[in-house]
Amino acid sequence: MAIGAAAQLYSDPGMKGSSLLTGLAAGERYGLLNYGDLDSAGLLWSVRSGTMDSSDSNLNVVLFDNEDFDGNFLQLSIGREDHDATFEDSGNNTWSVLLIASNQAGTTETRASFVNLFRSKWDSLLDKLLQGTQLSREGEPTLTWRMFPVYPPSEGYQYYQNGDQFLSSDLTYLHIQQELLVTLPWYWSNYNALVDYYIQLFVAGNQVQASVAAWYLTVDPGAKSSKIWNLLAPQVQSGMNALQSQLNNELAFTSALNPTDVYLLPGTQLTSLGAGPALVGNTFNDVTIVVVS
Amino acid sequence: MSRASRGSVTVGRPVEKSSEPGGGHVKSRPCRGAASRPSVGGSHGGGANEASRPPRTLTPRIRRNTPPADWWLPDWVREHVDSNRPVDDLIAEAVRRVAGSPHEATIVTVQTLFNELSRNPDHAAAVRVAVRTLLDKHLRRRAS
Repeated sequence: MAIGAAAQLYSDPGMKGSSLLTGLAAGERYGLLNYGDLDSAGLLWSVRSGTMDSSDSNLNVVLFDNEDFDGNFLQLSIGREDHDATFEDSGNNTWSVLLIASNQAGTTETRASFVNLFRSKWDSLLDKLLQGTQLSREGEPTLTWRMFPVYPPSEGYQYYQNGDQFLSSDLTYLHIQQELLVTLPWYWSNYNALVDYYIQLFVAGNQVQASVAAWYLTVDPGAKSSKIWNLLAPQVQSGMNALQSQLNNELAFTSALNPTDVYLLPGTQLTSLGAGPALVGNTFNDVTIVVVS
Repeated sequence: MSRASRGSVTVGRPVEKSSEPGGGHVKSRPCRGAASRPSVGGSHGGGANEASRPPRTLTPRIRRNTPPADWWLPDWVREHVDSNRPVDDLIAEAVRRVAGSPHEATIVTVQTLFNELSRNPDHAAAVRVAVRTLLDKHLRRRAS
């Protein structure tokens, strides 16, 4: 096994305190440090400095404020030509960490913002599907990711989200969440409903393809909740096919790229990052789809 | 999305001097974001049809860092501990083993050992020096 990248995380500034050594073998994409991994090394809430080394790829160390690789994040990166680097973080609240190898030697990357690629298409698709019904789109969707979901919670105090029971803890997913307004006739109050779709990206047939892995529907509690859920659920379920078809239309451009892999980065990062200021963002605002050729 | 000054990466040798820590405050549990409504009312869903699932072989290459539940000290570590040799000797021996046999099992064993030792800040400092030497040799050789 060849070591491709490594990082040492420290509990105190200046590479002091307790530490955790982690890394990726050459060719690996993601390294996972969950709540328990950080807690056992004395690094929970407290990744204050570190070292990064890489030779085969850019190395991105992403520190998340939530324990399931989402929410606010701080991304520290080095280019493969940088070789080694150090970092300091003065405002740390880390609950989970992802190591992500990008820009691997011998590959070309094409990047797309999930929001830019799909939000307007989603709006059009949904508005068309809801036309003439008692349902309407309530604002814009959240276009985000769901990384290595754990269900049921098995170690420590781990979160899980609606839909995780249908997903694999070894996979990464795009996640679309949309709030809907259910308008009821006078004189009943309206209800809100929340629809979730989880999508796996993969390379097949010489292009990146999407597969909708799971759907989820939540309706406001109330006397009419179950009835509304029963009315909506078949539509949400059948919407998987329309969504998958629309996504694959938007991903058709990848057939010209001769892709070999596809992976995700947090937030919007359309260019490869090397050493320098950290990238700060929130996974609920956007996700970057990286097509590898 | 911005490249902010909260943290930064500095290329070059790790610096030994410590910097001023940020303002300390008691941290609360993180709030969930928009994509995490509590499951109340009518709330459940379903998985995909089998026909639309991608091949199972298409999984990303990932590395987990949680040591095996039954992991315990290898004999060569036990011998060092039982004979009361300095920790530095144990770290040097671990580096020697990785350099001589850079295979998955050896690397994972040494990584687990180093992380267990590094719970102690003094040992963490010794591990850092050893890892620096190892990575310089291993990664630089691959890069050149």
